[in-house]
Amino acid sequence: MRKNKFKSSKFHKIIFTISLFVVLFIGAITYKHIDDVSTSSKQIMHTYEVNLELERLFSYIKDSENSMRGFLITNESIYLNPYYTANSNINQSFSTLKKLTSDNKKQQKNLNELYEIIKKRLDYNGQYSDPDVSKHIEDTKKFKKDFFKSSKLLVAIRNKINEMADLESSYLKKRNSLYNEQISFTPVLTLSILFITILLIVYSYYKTNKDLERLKEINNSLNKSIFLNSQAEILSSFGTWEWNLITHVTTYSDNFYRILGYEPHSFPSTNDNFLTFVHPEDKEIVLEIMSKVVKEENLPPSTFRIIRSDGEIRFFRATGKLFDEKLKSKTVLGVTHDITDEINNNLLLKKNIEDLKKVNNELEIFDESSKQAEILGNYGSWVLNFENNKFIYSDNNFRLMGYEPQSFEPTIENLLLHVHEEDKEIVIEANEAALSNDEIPTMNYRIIRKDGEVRRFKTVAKSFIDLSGEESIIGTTQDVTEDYYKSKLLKERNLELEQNIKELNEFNHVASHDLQEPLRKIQTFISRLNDKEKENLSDFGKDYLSRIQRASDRMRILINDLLQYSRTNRGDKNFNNVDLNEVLANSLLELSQNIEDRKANIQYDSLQVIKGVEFQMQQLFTNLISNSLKYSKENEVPKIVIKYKKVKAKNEAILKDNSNRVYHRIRFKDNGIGFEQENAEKIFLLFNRLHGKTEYQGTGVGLAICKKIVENHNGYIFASSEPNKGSIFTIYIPKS
Amino acid sequence: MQKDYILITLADDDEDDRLFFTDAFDELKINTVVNTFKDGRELLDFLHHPESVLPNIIFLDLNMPILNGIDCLKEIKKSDKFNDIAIAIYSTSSSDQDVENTFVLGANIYIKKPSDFNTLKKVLSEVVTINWQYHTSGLNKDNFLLRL
Repeated sequence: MRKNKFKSSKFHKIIFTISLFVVLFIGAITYKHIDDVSTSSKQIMHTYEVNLELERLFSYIKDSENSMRGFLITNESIYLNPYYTANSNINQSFSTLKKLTSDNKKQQKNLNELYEIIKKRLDYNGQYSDPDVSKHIEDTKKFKKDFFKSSKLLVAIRNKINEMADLESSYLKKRNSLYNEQISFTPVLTLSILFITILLIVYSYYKTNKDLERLKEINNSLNKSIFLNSQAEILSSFGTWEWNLITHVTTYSDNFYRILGYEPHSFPSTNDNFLTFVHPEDKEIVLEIMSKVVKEENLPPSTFRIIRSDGEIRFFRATGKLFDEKLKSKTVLGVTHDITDEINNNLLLKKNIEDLKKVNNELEIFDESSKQAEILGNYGSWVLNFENNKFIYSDNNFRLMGYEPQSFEPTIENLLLHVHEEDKEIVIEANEAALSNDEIPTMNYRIIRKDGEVRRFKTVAKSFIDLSGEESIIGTTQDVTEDYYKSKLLKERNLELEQNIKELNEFNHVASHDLQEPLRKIQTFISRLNDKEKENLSDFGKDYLSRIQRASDRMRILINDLLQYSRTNRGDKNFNNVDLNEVLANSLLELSQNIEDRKANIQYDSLQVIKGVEFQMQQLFTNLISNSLKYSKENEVPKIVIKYKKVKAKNEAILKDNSNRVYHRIRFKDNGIGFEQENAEKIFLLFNRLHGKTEYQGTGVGLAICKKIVENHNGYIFASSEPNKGSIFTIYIPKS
Repeated sequence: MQKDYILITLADDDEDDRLFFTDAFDELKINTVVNTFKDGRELLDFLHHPESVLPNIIFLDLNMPILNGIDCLKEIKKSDKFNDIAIAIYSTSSSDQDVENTFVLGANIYIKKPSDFNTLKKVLSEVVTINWQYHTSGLNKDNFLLRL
């Protein structure tokens, strides 16, 4: 704010005073001029009067002369009367003239001279004014002389009067010019002064206007700053207050009420009222502040709690200053700040820092453990920074190459020095890919270690953008030499195994197929013997023959089962839609004789269409149902219940799979002889039998085939049982 | 010439099987004349011989030396001359592949050699008494394999 804002009023005063003086001056000047002009005009008038009187005087003299002449000529005393009147008039006129010219010594002197001349003239005339004397005219000589003299005097008078009139004329001339001078000068002066005055007034009006504008501006900015102040108070939640120590009047700013939780001016602003808000434990602090602030000029900021109108406890920080003279009264000005949020933020910050410390600590632990892991796992990690094209290697990355940690500068050139000649291209290409932002392929290459040993390395890398937005590539390099050889061996073994299995399957098929032929012949011959030669045999022979027949029958079954097993082994993966309802119906049809014989009770749910190999599913169902029929209790009607449910893997504990994969679950439950649960896995093994050959017919292939089929369908089969209580076979086939 | 017997030929390398085959027909009360050959080549030579009387039914074993059943079947089906001869596959195997192959190649029936003489008799009598015209017209994969 400008300090010279009061200067203008001083200026105004000066302008005003000057204007006043000018007006007064103009008045005085004008008055003097008017006075001068009137004096001039009076003097002119005076001159005219003098001239007139002179004329009159001369005319009286002429009258007296004329009268005298009349008397003298006529000798009639009648002419004497005007003569006397003229004389007294002369005297009167003379005295008037004397009076008129009393201020003018020159005219006075002239007048005196005139008086002398007039007196001499009158004296001559007087000698002849006596009627008696008139007779003396006869004395012509004297008269003639006197008359001459008197005529001469008259001329002298005329001259004198003319002289005087001339003098007065010269005066008049002089005065007239003076008067004219004054008359012409006065309006110029008056006008010019008036003009200056108007200028001054206009200027001061302009100045005043400008001041008013500035005042308005100042007022505006004042209003603005008041508004800003109140907004600032609201925004940063503080209030201001004023405490007059003399009058003991306290005033609060609007926001002071608000931070206490009230509408502005909703209660009287007194210190006692304020104290009711203060937290009971902090009342002491506030009272101390109040007592201190009265004595000390500056109050250090102090913090205390208040209880707001809504009951919330808030932290306030107050500070005040005592102003003694500046405000012309002993007044404390103060600011009270609601610092609750600040305190909370500080607490939060503190907590964040603690959390950060914790995380940091964990990171350190993690770092340490990852270092250990690198050593244990035979791998190293590295970072390639895009900005400066520099590598950072982990300690173990150096060790992998046979070096002490950080013993050489990790650059692509130094790395290539160690790469096997034949594999350099791989590394160079991968590095180029990384630098050109392409996908970085997994690299498999050989490294010649410092000690000369060739090791096989595998590197995977990924571009990575850190929190600051810097892009880099982080990679992991593993020494996979052992794994490489192991997997190489494994591959070879696998190949061997595949070959073996293939041969085995071929063998299985061919063997069972070729075995069938002699067996069939044996059986045909047995049947021929039975038909044609049985009667010729002894009882022993008959018994042996029937034993041969049973053995050959069994062999047939075995061979058939084996054939079937080898057929499922082929792993037909041509999956089609298979309607299990149809499959079940076919199986029941296939086993209808058996079912009828056993009078079995079979119940089943409606099944679903699955993806699978139809003949295998047929085999599966037939095997399971015939299995249940086979191992049914002799003295009980076999009961088989087939149930279907669509399930999720995570809900089936036995699958040990927590995913949401959906399975078709089909359960075959029977009331047969069952088995010990411990054998639940054994029964699916090839040629594994739990019962004697004679008790229950079976080759131990049927369930093995079932398992094979289910596994071909990527499913699972489980058995659960209890002796004499029946068994449950559960199949899980994945949905699609 | 109206024949009053059915002429039957068998090509099988197994002597025992040939024996069962002829024995079975001997015991059957059907008027048949049975000729047997040791392999496909012998059979074809016979068939192609101008003086040969063509059989009504040929029984073909699949697994034979020199010329096996499948190749033999192909040969027979090449010639229109043999169109009227019914061909029965007579094999130990009943693998899907064999059944399918022979069906596609135009055999009329597939018989799995039984392991019981009485069953053999039954099967052969069945085959011989089939109305071939009727059977062939409705032939499909399902009734191709003879089941008893």
